[in-house]
Amino acid sequence: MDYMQILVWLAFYSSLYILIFWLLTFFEKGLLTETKKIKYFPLVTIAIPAYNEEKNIIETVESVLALDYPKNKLDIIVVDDGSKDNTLNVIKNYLKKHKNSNVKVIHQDNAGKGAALNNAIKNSRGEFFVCLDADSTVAPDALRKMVPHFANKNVAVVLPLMKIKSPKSALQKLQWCEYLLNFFYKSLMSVLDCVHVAPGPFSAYRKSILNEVGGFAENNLTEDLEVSLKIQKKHYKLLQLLDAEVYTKAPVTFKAFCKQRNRWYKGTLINLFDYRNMIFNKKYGDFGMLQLPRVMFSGFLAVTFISLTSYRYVFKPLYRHIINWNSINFDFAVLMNNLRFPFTWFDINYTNLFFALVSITLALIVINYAYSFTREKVFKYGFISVPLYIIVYGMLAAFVWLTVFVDLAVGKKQKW
Amino acid sequence: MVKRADVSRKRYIIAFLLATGIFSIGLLLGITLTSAKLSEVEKLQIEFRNRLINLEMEDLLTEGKICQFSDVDDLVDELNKIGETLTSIEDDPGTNRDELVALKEYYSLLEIRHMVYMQKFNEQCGKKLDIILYFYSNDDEKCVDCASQGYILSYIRNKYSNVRIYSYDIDIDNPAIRTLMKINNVTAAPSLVINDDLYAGYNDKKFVEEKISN
Repeated sequence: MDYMQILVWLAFYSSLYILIFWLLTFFEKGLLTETKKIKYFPLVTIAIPAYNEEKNIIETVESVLALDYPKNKLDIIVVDDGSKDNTLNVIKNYLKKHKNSNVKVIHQDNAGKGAALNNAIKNSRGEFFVCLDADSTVAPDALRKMVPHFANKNVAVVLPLMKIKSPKSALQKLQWCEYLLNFFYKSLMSVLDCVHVAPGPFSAYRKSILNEVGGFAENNLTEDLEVSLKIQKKHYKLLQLLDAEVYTKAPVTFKAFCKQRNRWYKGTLINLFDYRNMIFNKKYGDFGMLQLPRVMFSGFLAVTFISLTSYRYVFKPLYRHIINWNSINFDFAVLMNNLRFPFTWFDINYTNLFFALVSITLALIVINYAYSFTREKVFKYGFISVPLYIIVYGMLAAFVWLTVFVDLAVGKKQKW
Repeated sequence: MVKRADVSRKRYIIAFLLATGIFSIGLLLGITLTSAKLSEVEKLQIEFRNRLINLEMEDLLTEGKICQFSDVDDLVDELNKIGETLTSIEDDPGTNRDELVALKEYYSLLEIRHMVYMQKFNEQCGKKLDIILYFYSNDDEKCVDCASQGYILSYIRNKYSNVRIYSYDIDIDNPAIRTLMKINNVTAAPSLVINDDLYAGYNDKKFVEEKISN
């Protein structure tokens, strides 16, 4: 029995099942695409927690000040989380120079993002609380597109579409594609109340609900995911919009990318373990029965599928070839003289070929919808982003998941 | 108390049916085409056997004037092609193992039959061909070096036009293969019999090249 093949098929079947489920949801229910007109302007607090962000903080604050929203209805708080660089002075000087009265600066000893946000909540006056990472900027019309969705009293969080800002390197272009797909997927998840994380850049919370769930967890690797789980536990809604936009900077280097994803994935696993009673729990509807198990198993699926297929179809044959070439003292002349087409129809595994074609077709359908709903062009940043995403992303994710499993196995501690 | 929508039971069932349907199509396609591959090999083997019988008849009718028939050596390429095809099918998870073993057994018998003629052709017609018998096993635990040994022999066959190689899977339970092993004193894989001399164990490229007459 070829157990490796069976594992690969199991991973394929589960991914196929989930993809079909969401495609059915998409065709049956559609997406939340209607832009709601703002009728009244409630007071909104925008909190910008910053740690060593002297290079980015001004751009972020300026994007908030440029919001198309009445200035007297904005309560802007910058929390300097004990930065070691000049963040505090940079922002203070900027505000002094521009004489801006509705921006408050709070300094605290370094205590982490969760603590910084809680500090901001304590000092906030707004009916709604928006957090904005200091490496992100927001589109001027984002807030006025988001606020009207709070008319439904059960809506706890409204999320904008997050895009990667001016991707330059191949890794950033890959993430640009990844974000468009992820946020398209999240908007679909929000149709069935299945959003499991409200990311840092410009997620808007109803403050009363945020207080009801006890604010943000401190010393948590993914406090944005933890607070979302608490909100889901109370059955409130998290809405993912696609018309309001926020722009964030993507890690440039492979090391920075791995570090960021390692924290995300690890935080996800740890928080899911803490909220394990929600998993496969009918009380939480599709969120408990499909979304949380999917999130929980995605790491195992990625590692299983990618590592087994890479081992079987790339590394093992490559290793075999090297051993073989070594055994003939790398006499390629003879091989070249007898060169022929590397395979015939007898060599093809038609089941796997069919599954690969199905996967690529479905992936292209989803990518097409994602780009269309996020108003982007596939070739905006060159030809590379989509092929890179399809070919490399799974391997990168599997690699990071592996590092997470290793870290957890050896009990490595990690700070935010 | 905020109320949450129930699970979308109907959608779960439809997704299950569709995913299972697509998955089954993939499996069925694999099984059908693998079966077609086996039929193709069977067809090739029958064609080869007919040519071999034809050769035997000609040999009988002409009272052993085998040197007149160039077919003996011409058939080598066909035999190699069948062997390579069987090797590719071996890795296919959809292959019916019993059917494959039967085809391999039949292939081995054809090889022996051709080899006997090749030896006769070599001796009677003054051909200076090197005949190598390669005994292998596909069981990696039983024979860790078989993959490398096989690769070296393919290389030798491609490099030297006067070398003819016959490969036998020692795990095939067949009286003719057992006899062939017995008369050559072969007990384990890998083993090479080069021009009637046994070289048990793994033999590298240099060693094999030294043993053939070039």
